[in-house]
Amino acid sequence: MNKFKICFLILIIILTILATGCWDMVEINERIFPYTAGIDNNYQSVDQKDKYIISFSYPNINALGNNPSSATKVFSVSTEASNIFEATHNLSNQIQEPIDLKHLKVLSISEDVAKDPNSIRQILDGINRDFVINKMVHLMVVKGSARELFNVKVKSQRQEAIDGSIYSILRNRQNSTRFTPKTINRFIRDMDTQGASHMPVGIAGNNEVIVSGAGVFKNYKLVGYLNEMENRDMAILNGDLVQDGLDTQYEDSNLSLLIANLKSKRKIITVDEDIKVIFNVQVEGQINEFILDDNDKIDSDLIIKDMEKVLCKEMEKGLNKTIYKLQRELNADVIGILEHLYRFHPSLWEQVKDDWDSIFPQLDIKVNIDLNIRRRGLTT
Amino acid sequence: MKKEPKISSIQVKGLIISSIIGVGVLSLPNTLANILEKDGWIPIIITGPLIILFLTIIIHMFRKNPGKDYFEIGRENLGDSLFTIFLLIFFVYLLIAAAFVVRNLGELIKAFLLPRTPMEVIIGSFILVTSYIATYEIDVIARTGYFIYPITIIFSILLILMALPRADFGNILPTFQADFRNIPKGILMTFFSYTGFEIILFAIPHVEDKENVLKSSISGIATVTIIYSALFIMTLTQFNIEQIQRQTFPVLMMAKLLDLPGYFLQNLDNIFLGIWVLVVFATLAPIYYGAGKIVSEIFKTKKHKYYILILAPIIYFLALWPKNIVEVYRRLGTIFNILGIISVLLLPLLLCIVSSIKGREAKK
Repeated sequence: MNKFKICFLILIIILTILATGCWDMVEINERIFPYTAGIDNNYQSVDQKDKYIISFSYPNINALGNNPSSATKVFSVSTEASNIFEATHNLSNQIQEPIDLKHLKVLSISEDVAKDPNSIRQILDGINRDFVINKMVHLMVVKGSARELFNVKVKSQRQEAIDGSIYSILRNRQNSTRFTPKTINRFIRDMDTQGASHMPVGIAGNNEVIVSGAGVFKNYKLVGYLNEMENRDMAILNGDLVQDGLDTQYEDSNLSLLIANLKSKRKIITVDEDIKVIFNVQVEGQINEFILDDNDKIDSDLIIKDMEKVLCKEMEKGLNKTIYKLQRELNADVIGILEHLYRFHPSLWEQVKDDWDSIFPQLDIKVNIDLNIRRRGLTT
Repeated sequence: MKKEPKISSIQVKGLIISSIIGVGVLSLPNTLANILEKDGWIPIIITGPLIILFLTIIIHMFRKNPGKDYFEIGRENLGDSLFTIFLLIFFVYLLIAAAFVVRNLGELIKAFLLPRTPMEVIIGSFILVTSYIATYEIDVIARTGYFIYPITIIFSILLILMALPRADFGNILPTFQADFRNIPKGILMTFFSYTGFEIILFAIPHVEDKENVLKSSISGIATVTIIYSALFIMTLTQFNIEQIQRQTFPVLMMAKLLDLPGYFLQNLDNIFLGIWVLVVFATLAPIYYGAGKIVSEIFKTKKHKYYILILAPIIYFLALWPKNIVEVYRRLGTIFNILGIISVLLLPLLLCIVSSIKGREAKK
């Protein structure tokens, strides 16, 4: 028995030495956590080798805290590589510590790269496949070069250091509809279900990073852009809009409505082989601004009804224009019609899914808006 | 004086839950989505009751032969030599099962937690740790299972709850669109996710209150069924079907996607996997114990303790045999499946039939 006790003791000692996981011990301050990665085309590349310029921006830990010992809050580095993972290795000759992509928040892709569907497929597959990278990475397409976007010195530096300015905007705490954030998981999902998706567009301005509108992708290829208003219309159709304003002219003065609640429902009607899509949009809002004039009081049911009518018309005009653009110019179903068919009309979906590219531009899409002004503010 | 190991029927429930839920559940939605698309939950809720039915038969068999353990019943009914052959198959199955579980866990740990630690060390240390518990008798195994099963359940529920805010239940639609001829295949694949309950063959003879054992095993299997189908449906609400078909471990991916407001919780996959190691430990221990017990039965020795240590290197090399993750499923997985059906389903069923026939003849 004694022998066994000794054997056991040796076993335990070996275990404690071998099984403590020391191989992977890296102190957290000895890692670099980039929050933004950017991908540009490398025009100097020969034979597809190192075909991208990949940039990372990461916080300078020494510049944080109470007594910062360094002034630059954000560093950005870039290198030539054929993918984002190779880039982290290539960069080891420029920076002191290993790059860990675990907390990557934003992937910005330059316009040129986005126009090549193969590149996008490869880049997204790498991120989707990787064990470490979070799948909630926000995607963004950059007009111009992604690297330059990182080097923009931002005026409003409040959150810049910890979050990264681009991520702070993209998180969309302001419920903006000027752009619609898109994570990689959602993007791939859109591609799978309807073959088209969109991601916000970043522009490097003078002293500011502007995120505005949407780049529309079709089969992983950038096919066009939506401006801010069109992006809002798309958000309305998708029911993504949380809060926004709606402006129109009413009796020579500006009437501004705050949309507080919005629901959008898709309805499919089939009349012998013809598919008709109806978007039922329900809007509730309150009046933001009208005019301080005793003749123009909002005090009767008639006026409110009339205002609702005018606002409805304004909204419908915009929506129809955007739908026309999506159908005819971009031929990209980013308003979820195919997915709706798949969910609720599987047999119809079976018939149309293969020819959706030719069916979608010819679809009869109608918008019904039910707009209600619920509140008029403090004054009449 | 040697005490006869005793376990209670509540411990049986814990034992069943903790030995069934292991690495299989992490990839189960993927397997089912590849076979039945969005209707993958159908096989889960069909297989659960089937297993319950099967357990009822087994427990009935043990009731008919009071005081005897599984091996005694087997030898009596099938004869020494035939039963030994079956036991050998059972033994190989358990070994492969152990290797399969260890290798899968090793791959996961290496990928998510310890990228630079050699696979040999992960697997070796895990086997050694488990061998410690496996040297003990069934009562200790049952208590381990009983301790770990709340962890399994709590973390499954936590995962489901935390995924709820992001869930899009419209994604479950459309239902009943898959090819229903694939359901038998789906049931078969789900069955392998339910394996592990065979530990009950070793446990039942030692249960103190035999009247309640059926009830507690039914509630054990029911819990597993609920957790499995809930996890499947939750993965459906998080991803579209193509993503589930693409991802090897959809449940882990779900943990990765969790993003509660602010930075409160993010990247939960590491924590989740860290806890899952404990859960897998409770899966491996009964398998390992069973393998040791069978060798000791074949050589007709009283204690299985020493065989456990001999088995450790065998499991270790079996686990390291496949070269990559695809081979793990192709090689170990296929053998595991075939032997599993023979030893977990066919052998007990055969025993039940033979023993009931013999019982009837004896009455006449």
